Amino acid sequence: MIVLLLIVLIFALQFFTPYWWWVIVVPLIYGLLIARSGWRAFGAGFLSGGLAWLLMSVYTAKNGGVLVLGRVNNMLNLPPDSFVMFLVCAGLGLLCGGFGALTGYLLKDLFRNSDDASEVSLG
Amino acid sequence: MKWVKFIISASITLALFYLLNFPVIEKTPFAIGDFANPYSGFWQNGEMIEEQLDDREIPGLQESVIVQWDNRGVPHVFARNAHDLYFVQGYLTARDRLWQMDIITRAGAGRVAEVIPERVEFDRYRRRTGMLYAAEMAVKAAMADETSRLAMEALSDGVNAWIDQLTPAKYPLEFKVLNYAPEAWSPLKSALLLKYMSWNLSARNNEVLWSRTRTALGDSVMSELFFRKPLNMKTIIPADNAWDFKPVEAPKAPDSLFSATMLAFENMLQPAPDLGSNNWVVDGSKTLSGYPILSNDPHLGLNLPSIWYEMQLVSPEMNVYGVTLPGAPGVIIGFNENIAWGVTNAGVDVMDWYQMHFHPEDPWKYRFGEEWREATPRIEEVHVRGEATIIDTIAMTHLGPVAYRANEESYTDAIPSGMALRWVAHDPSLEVKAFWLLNRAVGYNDFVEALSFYDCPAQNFVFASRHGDIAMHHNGKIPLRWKHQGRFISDGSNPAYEWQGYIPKAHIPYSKNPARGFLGSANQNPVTGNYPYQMYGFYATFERGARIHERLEEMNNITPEDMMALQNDNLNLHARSALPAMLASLQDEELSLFEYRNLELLQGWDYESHRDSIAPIIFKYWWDNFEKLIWEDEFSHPEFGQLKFPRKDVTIGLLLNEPDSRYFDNILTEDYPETLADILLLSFQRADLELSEELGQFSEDWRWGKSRGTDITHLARIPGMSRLALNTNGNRGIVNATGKTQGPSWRMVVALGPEVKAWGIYPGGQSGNPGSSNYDAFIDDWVEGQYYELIYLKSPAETHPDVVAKTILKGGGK
Repeated sequence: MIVLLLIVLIFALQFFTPYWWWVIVVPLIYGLLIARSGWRAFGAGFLSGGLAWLLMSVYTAKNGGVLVLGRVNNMLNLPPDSFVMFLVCAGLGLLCGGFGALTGYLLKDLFRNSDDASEVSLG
Repeated sequence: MKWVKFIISASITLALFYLLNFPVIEKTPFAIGDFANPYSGFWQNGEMIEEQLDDREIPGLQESVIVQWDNRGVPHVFARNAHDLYFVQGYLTARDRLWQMDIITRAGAGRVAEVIPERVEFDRYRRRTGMLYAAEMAVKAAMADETSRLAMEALSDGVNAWIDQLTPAKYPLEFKVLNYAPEAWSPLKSALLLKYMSWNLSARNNEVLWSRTRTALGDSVMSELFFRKPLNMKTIIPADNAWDFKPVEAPKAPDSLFSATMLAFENMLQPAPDLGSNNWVVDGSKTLSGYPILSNDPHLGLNLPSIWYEMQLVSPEMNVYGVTLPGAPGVIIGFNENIAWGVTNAGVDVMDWYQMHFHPEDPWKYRFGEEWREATPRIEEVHVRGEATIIDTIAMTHLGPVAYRANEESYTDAIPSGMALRWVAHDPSLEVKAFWLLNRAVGYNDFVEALSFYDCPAQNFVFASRHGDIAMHHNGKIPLRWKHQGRFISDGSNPAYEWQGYIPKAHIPYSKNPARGFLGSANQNPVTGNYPYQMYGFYATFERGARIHERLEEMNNITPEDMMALQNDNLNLHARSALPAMLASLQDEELSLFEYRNLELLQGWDYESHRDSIAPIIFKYWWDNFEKLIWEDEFSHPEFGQLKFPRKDVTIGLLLNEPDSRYFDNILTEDYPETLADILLLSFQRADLELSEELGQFSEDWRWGKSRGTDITHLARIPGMSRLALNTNGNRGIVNATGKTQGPSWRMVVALGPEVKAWGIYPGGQSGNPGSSNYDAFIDDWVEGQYYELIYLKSPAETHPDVVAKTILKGGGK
């Protein structure tokens, strides 16, 4: 549920503004305000960031974006029908979302009593 | 522990942010996060942003405008007034070609380094040759003229209306790759575009070449090899033309011709040898329909997005169709219901170079006659992305800007240091008004009036009307000259070298309704020696002009299809003139097996530069080696290095008419005087060697279409956005003058009559978006020499099977 909400939020903010970094900031705020554990924060951020970017890249490619993808692949010395850019897109989303959310959570954690934090820890 | 975890996680997040938010990859201008972002990055530049333009309200539009779209993406614009028409021209052109408009005007202004910092010296060169200055002068003149001002401001407002509604996600792809944002348009940018074309078409410095050759070889060689009557020339204006006016007196020549202090120059500003525009017109006596047919194929360097954008522009006072220059108001080459017109470059010399004599103690004073004159400093700020702004101060003399001081190193060795540049394009002029009038012209007199406002770059304007008139005007602002004035580097301190006036527009070479029923131009000499003014320039040799002339002369009952065939004519007149004499001197027994194979291919050749033929590449290599063997010895100079060889027709003339010429002897070998036959054999052998070295073993790869090939490169040479190695017919010096990087940028045939009909094609597509199928949609058909029928709508309500969409643009108040 939270993942879906995050995806919608990332989608909306990225759709209406040109900033790529919502994929860090939205999960970070989620981590800071909502997440109950570091693992959960990381997991939800990871999934929502990755999906938000992967789904959109697939959607644009499906809707007339094949030619431009081929041109960009060409520019980057990849074969025109390469899938690498989808992986890059998904990978960036995953990393940004995951570490954004985790950082948010860990920031919150710094200001909590250690007792409250007993149930959560990462690594 | 918490701190450690936080710091590790935060560091990773920050590192990600840094790597994605800044252009961290070397030689890559974009930031990965911006570029790969599927919501605003390159993913958004697919065909989604190409989709049908919705009906909308546009602030600034006065009344509703209807746009009909045909299936090739050509907008047919119906406006209720001129303001709205040019406004929508700007709006739609920006929609399809915004990045191209931006980068070309940057190249014109010397503002490329603001985007690509490596181009800073190029920018300085542009400023120093007065490009920005020229555009400023043009805008000043245009703003004082009601029609030019209306057209330029309305177009500018339209472009800006498009830019204003763009979100970064919708920026054209190249803005994202090069990581910058579109900026507002202005009339200055339209002027820069026209100056950019002026530079490409009229910036020439043959005087550097000729001064150097004259110093090295002397006046007698100059007359013998450079100023001889051009071979087989069919001039643009019929040779028997009577000049029924009283010429203005030519200025007085100085007592002796100035010899400039010569430095070694390696390059010339000169047209690319593969270029070759054609236009011609036949009157009703030669056509099947009884009405004139006009043809034009202007040739330019081939790029994507294409230099041309097709449009139909309709207002209550005009209905014009043709190609526009993205960013300039009106149609540049096209037709309306009454007339059609087209252009080829005139090549006439309108740029002179003056060696200046500055005061030894004061670098701002220069000698002119008996006095010292004051140069005005012009300050140019060249902004460089990520670096400090460079401030250049240019000395402006009354003979033009001194591009590089004598002690400065020039950006290009084609521009001499220490010289002032006098160029017609630096003077104020009203080309926009000329096109405004041309677009609305009803008959010949309107055409002539329009041309009276057109100064630079000088063009051969061809004309036809439904009333039956045909005409050709070698039109532009052309300096009055004494014999040889401006042929060599001029003396900037001697007033006799200053331009003393211009050939009156009524006296420029033209022909109207000649008895023979046709007129044509192919960049060749406009007139014979009986023209009462001194006029010279960078003219093409005879081949294309003579071929067009011979075909038009022998053709009758001409149809538009005949004219399309002539635009695609591949007959190599150079080979037809020279090859029989070359082959006659070769003896079979002197040849190796491979050479014999080449000989047979040439003997069986029909002189067609067809893409599947192998003979053209053999002939080219043979000729190039032949030329080199004749001239290399005489034209190597210990101080100046390699001098420019005489024109091709001079070499052909020697081959055909002076087989005993002393130039065939290699003056570097003392023992043996080489003959023409020796040189032909040796060059034939060298050709075979070079061919196998460069193209490998004799194979399919030697076919002309493959070995020459044609590349249409992206304007910023971004990899993956060009179309390369196209299998084309044609060659330089051929009506179908298609070269490696040059070719017909627009082919058009217009059949006049009660109902005008026209056909056309250009090597590109209406969209400037590399992610659109309309980016290069016409190229394959262009390679095949095909045409599209141009849809000329009479009213916004007219239906046509190929008109597929409609947009209504509504005024949004002022």
